[in-house]
Amino acid sequence: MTGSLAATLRTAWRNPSGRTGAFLMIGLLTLAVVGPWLLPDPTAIPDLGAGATPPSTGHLFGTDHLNRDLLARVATGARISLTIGALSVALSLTVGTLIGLWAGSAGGWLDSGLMRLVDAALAIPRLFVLLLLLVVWDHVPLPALIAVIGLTGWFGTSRMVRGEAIRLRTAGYIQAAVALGAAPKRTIFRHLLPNVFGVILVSATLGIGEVILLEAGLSFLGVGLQPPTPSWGIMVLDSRNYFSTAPWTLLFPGAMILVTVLAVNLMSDALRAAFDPRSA
Amino acid sequence: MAAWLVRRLLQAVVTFLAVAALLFVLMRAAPGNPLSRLTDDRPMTPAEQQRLQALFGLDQPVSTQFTRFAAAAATGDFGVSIEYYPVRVNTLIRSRLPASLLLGGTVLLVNLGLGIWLGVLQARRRGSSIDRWLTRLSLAGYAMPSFWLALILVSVFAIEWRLLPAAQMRDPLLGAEAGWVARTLDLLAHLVLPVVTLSVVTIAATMRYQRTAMLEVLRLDYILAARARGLEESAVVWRHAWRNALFPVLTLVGLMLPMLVSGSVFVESVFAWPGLGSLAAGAIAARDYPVLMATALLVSGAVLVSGVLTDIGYHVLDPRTRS
Repeated sequence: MTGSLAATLRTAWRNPSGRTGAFLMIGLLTLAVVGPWLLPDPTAIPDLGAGATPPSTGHLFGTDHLNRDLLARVATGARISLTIGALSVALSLTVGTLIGLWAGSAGGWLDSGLMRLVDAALAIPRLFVLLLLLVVWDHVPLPALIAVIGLTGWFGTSRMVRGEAIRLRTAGYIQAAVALGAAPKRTIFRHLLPNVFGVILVSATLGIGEVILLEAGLSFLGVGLQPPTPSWGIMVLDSRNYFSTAPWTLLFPGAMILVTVLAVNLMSDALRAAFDPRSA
Repeated sequence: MAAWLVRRLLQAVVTFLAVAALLFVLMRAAPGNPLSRLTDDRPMTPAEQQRLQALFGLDQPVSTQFTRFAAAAATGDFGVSIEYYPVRVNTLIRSRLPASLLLGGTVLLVNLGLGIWLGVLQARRRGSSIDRWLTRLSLAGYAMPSFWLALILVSVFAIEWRLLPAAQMRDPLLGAEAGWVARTLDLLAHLVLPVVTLSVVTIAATMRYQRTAMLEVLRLDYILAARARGLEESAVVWRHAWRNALFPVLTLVGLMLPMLVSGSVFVESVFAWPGLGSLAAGAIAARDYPVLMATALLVSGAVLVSGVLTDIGYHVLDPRTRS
C-alpha cells in the first residue's frame, strides 16, 4: 500500500496544476509561519491620522483604514486560516472515518440509523448549521471555532468511507483476512483503512478549501472570530466602507483567500486524477 | 412504482423530522442568550429578561419548547420575529421569497446553460489548451469568496464606471408611471451583478460533471458507429452523445441548492437584494433566532424535495435504477 501511495503522490506531483498548487501552498505556509515574526504587529496602529496608505516600500501591501500594516495582517490571517483549515479538517476526517467504518462494518439498524442522521445533517447547508451554533456566542475562542467547524464537517466523509467499507467488505483479501481469523478490529484498521485512504485524502484536501471559505464568510458576516483579529473575512468586511478610495484594503485579503483555496483545490484535483485516472 | 414512491416519500418525511430535531438541538446547544442584544449595550434587568423570555416562549421547559417548534415546523408557523417584532416570521419570509426565487432561478439558468455548453466543449477538446484553461478558470471561480467578488464588481461596474446599479432590486426613482419595458430593463440591470457573482462561484461543478459525463459517453461504441456512418460532428456530439450525458448533470441541481442558498446569503447582503439571503444575514446581527431557524428549515426542506425529484427523474428515465 505504501508503495502505491507514493506512486500516486508522484503522479499527482507530475501533474502541472497539482505542482502549481503545491508551490503556492509552500509559499503560503512560509508566509504564515515566518511572516508574523518578521513583520510589524498586525494590531499596532502607528499613526491613526494617516489612515489607509497605498502600497509603498515601507508597507508592501499598504495599510488599512486604521493605518495597520496590511502585509502583516494578511500574514497573520494566513496563519489563522491555515490553522483552522488543517485542524478542523483533521477533526472532521477522524470523526467521519471512524463513524463511516463503524456503520459500514456493523451494518443493520445501527448503520441505517447513523446514515439517516447523516442524511438529515447533509440536508442543512453547513453555513446555516454554523450560524445557528455561533450567532449568540459573543467571543468564540479559536479552539472552540475549530471544534465547531470540524464537528459539522464529517457527514459527507462518513458516508463515503461507509460506502467504500461496504464495497471492500466483500473483496477477496478482506474475506481472506477474516477467514484466517483476524479480529474485527484488526480487519478494519490493518486491511480496510489503508484502502479507503485515497478517498479520505481527496476529501481532506477539498475540505480544507471549503473550511477556509466558510471561516472567511462567517467572519465577513460578523460571526465567529471578532476584530481586531486579522481574519481575512474580517479584513474584507473592514474594507467595505473604504474600498473606493483604498482599493488595496479590499484586494489583498480577498486575493489571499482566493489563492489559498485555489492552491488546495489544485492539489486535490491532481490527487483525485492520480487516484482515478479515468476522470482526468 | 407506487410502492417505491411511497417508500421514498416516507423516507424524506422522516429525514425532515430529523432535520427539525437537529436544528432544535443546535439552537439549544449554542451558548449565549438570543435576547441580549435587544437592549443594546445596557444590561437587561431581570424583570425585562423574564418578560422577554415569556414573550418568545424561552421560559418553558425544553420539552414544551420542542413540541412547540415541531408543531411550528409541521404547520409552517414560526411565530414572531425578534428583530421586526411584532411582524410574524411567515410574513417576512413570504415577502422575501419572490426576490430570492428570481435571483436563484436566473442563476440556475445561467449556470446550467453556460456550464453544460462549456463542459461539452471541454470534453470535445479533451487535453487541449482550451480544456486546461477552462478547468483552471472554473477552479478559480470555485475558490473565490462570493462576497469579495461582489464587492469588486460593485467597485468597478457600479462605482467606477457607473454602468450598473450597485444595490437593491429596483430604482426607487422609477415612478409608477414608467412602462413595463422600462421596469423590466431596470430589474434586469439590477440582476446583472448578483447573477454574475453567483454564477462565477457555482459554475465549476456543472462544467466538471458535464465534462466527465460527456467523456464517459464519447468513448462508447455507438458513438464510434455514428462517426463511422459519416454523421456531422455536431450531430454526433449533441444528438447522440449529449442526450445520454445530460442526466448526471441534472442530478446536480439538487446538490447545487445548498451552495446557491449559502452563496446568496453573502451576495444578497452585499447587493442589498431583498430576498431570503439578506433576511438571514440581517437576522445574524439582531440574533433573530426564529427567522434563522425558519430559513434553515425552509432551505433544508427544499434540499430534501429536490432530492426526491431527482430520484423520481432517475426512476422514470433510467430503468436500471428500478431494481
